[in-house]
Amino acid sequence: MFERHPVSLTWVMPLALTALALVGPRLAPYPSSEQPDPAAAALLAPGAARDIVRLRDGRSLVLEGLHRQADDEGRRILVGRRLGGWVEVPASEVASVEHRLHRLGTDRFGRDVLSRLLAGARPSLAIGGAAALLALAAGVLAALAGATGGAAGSVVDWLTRGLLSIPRLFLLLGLVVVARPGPLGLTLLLAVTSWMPTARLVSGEIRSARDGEVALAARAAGATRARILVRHLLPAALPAALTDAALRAGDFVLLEAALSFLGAGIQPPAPSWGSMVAESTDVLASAWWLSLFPGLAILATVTALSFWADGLRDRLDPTRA
Amino acid sequence: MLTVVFLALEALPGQPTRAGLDPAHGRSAQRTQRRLLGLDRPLPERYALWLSGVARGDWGRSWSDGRPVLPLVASRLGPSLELATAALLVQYLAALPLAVASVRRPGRAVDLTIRIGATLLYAAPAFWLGLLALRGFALHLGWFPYAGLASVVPPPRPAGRLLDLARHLALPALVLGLSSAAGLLRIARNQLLEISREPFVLAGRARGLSEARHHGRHVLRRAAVPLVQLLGASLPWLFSATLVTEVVFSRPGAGRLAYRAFLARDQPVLLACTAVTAVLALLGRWLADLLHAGLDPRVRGV
Repeated sequence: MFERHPVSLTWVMPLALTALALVGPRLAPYPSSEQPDPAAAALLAPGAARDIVRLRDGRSLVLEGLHRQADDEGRRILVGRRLGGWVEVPASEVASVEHRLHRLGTDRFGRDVLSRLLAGARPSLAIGGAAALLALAAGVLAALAGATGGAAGSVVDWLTRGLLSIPRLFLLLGLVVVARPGPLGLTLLLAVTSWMPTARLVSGEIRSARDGEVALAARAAGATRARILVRHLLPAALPAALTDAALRAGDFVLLEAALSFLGAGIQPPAPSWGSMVAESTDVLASAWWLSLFPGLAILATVTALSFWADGLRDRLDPTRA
Repeated sequence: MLTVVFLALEALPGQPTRAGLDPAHGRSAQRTQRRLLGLDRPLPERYALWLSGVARGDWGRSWSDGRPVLPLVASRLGPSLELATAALLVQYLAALPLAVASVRRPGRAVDLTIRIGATLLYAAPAFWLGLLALRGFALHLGWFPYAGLASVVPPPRPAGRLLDLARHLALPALVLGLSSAAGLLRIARNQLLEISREPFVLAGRARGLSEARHHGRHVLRRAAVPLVQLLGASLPWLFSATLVTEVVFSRPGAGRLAYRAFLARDQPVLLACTAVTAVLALLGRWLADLLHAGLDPRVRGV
């Protein structure tokens, strides 16, 4: 099952995840960050339903077990539970009633978990994916700069070695404190702290191909060093770099999740999978659904990326399959 | 040997580059505060000051409570190293036997199960696994304590105290170790697979060595060298994972200190935590290189 993938799978996975990132927030059944009635009961278990009664004066009440009846004087009223008691609202004051079914429950603020999961797909996937691509590009560029030798080469080499020996999460926390980045800045920071393995890999491949027959033949044909590097050595190194980038794509999703979990990523109230897990820690014992579902979302994404990367490796690099 | 020391020293100046990124480009309105902290000076000067301070063993003071940074960080290193070491043990003890079991019959049920398990384990965020473990084993079953390094009221006897420490360490070490085992398992499996295709394995088999002896002694020994190198190179990653685990399990180590410093925007402490863990990672790599030299006679002469 790992070894044989249909050809199309190469593209299906990135396209599917991109689509999820693009469309996910639109699929959210309810607003992901809205708190219609801050005082009302939050933390509903998966499958619970309740109604939002919007009044004409602009307030809204979240009521459970809503039903309509007539009071003693025959006026139509709406009756529902709120904060452990029963609330009666005259039907004449009601502007609209919205029924909400929370398939995955709600969080502490009464926000729908499913909606937050879908809305959180965009930052969680987009930041990880964009950072993976940027890191790949930066790594290849760094390797090219390194391959030209001279001062640029030693600077790149020094940077690679220095950055590789610093624990990334510590460094990222420091950078976040200094830069206070938005989503775009976060993507850049992730890429800036993760391009080194790619650079190392590509420059290794370039070095081993430099003395090969292709390079020798090109040199004999009068090609310049730059031409040999870009036309012959780089293409030889790319499959390995792409495979490696695919294998590490899941890392970026995990890293973004860890940063958001620590409060250094996507800032609340905007949802992301990592920060959703973080928000669940206060109510760990009572509300299992809050930590379970975002974690499963990350797990499923990274697993899918791993399978995809395995398939890609088999296609790009038949010798290692 | 000399090369290794030289390399380590050459890589060291890479750390304080973060001092350059340090409080820089301030938009802060509090001028006095900035002057007190020395933030109004130009960047190279601050960098030079920081560097000379570090050289004298003075890493500055915490911005949030004024304590000297170095003793603060040093006092938190113990718990972190404890956790990292225990997790490494768990990681290798879990990953290597499974990798051997996996390559014995590639493509068969055992292999597939192990690989799928490893893929899932790799894909599960460590902080999430930690929370699940906390919920299951600490909250519901009550097998392990919920947080911290030791009980508030320590048991009277030394043996009891040790057991108490171990009970507090067990869950974070297991979570961290197992979640890092997944990556190691994948790499070790590939390496073992490659090695077991080499001619010397066929030769051994022809001489009638048993399968177990093969994988246990010859193949694994060949894989030991790259695995030790991998161990050295993966230390920075391990420290990062330790940070998250310490936060989840509320263990007062260097990682949690960095996290608290991050929340308080306490840059000197954060900087020191980063630099100290980076130096530790370098030392670890150096040790791994020494071990490598011990295992591989070809490196020793250099």
